[in-house]
Amino acid sequence: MNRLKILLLISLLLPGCALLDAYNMAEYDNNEYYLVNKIRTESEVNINTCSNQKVSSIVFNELYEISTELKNFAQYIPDNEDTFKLASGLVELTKQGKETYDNNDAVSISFCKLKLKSINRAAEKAQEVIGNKPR
Amino acid sequence: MKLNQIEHDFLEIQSAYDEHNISKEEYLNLLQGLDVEKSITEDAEELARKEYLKSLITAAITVVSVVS
Repeated sequence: MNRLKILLLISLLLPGCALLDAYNMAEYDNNEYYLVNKIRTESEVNINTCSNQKVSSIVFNELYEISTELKNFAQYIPDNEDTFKLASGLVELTKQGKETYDNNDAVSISFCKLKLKSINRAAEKAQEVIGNKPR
Repeated sequence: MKLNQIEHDFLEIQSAYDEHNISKEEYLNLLQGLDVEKSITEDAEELARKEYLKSLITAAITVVSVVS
């Protein structure tokens, strides 16, 4: 009963939807954290392989696959829309890199490095909040 | 995504283009990526706000449970 009272009290102070969203949010998930960490790590270590077009093409393809796996994994977990949105952004970002390699035989080293840095920054931001989800 | 971070990333891309290290298509691709990155940052901030709110609710419930 007391829990109900405190929830009602908080709900008077905050917008109802925000409260409900926060209270019901999906908890921390090991698989989500593993996948986003994999995206971050792959993009970090492969900056050194940008001079090899074939390897980079494989790397961007893998990053796209892992991001898609994260998006699909997050999609049907109840109250997990925020993680799904984050994962969808990572899919978009990695797809841009993958398609560049799919359609061009001479991708520049600078493009490879800048795109991997962008993916790395985005994955780190996503990892931080996915890791902070309530246990 | 903070303004100075966007500016830094933009200047890095611009500099690569000005020095002819990337093609026009690659330049546009990277700028579009910057926009996606900005959305990801906003989504991450939204999730962080919910996490903070959830922690407040949990703490309030714990306090009430202990007191009563």
